[in-house]
Amino acid sequence: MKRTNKLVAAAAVLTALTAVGTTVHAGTKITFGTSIYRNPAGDGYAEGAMGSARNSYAGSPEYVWCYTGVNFAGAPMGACAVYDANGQFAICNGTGYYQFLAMASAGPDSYIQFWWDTTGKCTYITVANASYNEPKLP
Amino acid sequence: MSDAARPRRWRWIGGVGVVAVGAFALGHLHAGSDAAPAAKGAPPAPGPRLAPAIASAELKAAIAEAVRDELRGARVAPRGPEAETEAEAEAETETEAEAEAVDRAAAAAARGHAVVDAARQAGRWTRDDAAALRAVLPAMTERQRQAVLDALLPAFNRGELKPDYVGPTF
Repeated sequence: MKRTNKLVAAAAVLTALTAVGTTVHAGTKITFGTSIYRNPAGDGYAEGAMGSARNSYAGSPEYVWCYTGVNFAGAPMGACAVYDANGQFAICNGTGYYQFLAMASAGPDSYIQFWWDTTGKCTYITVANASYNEPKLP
Repeated sequence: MSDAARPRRWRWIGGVGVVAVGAFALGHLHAGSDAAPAAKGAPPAPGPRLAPAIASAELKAAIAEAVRDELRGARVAPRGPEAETEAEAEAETETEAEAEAVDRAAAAAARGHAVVDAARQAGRWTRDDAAALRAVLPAMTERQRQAVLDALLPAFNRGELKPDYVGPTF
């Protein structure tokens, strides 16, 4: 009788913990694949997320980065790049302070999307830091 | 005396005059404050008076200051041939330094373009290419840096050039 009670209690605790665990991990989660689209004219766009690219399947070459810096003259510099699963690489060079700010706002789990022109300069940049972005796994 | 020198001389005389009158007034002021209050009807206290000594010291300091002001003005206003030579030498040094910086930047830009051209011919961008470009980019002017990147980045984006490593492109 006593043993049965113990078993029932243990089962109840286990059920409760499972329920709590499920609740903690609930919420929208999105995995963003990397992609690159090139227009024949030489411009195009690319997108990807830091976490999803890093967590992509074994052997995938995918990566995403944004760099920012300041040159000797005190001018801001920045660039973002995407390497997709098909082995395509796209990069854009930031010009101007606002593009620099956008790039500098990228975090470890950010989703990045950018357009470039025929000279490789960024013409549009989106940096999304959102709860549903996939975090990087070790 | 030349017409140009006349106003300056008057200024100098005026300055010394003002200082002298000021010092005289100061001497009197100090004499009044330093002297012990004399009793009504009592004869003046014997002993040396300090006021003339103070006034003299202040007058000396005031004149010295006026002279210094005049000299300072002379240094600032018309520049003599020596000063001009000094300024020319300074300007020459600056020009030489600027010329060196221009040469350095031009050499860096040439090296950057050479790295990019070689990589484009090979069709791949290596870690060494990136390191070589990274080493010279800071020495370039912004315009030169843009020109090198304008040659490199479209090659990536057209698929003519691909990095063969994971890491910073430049």
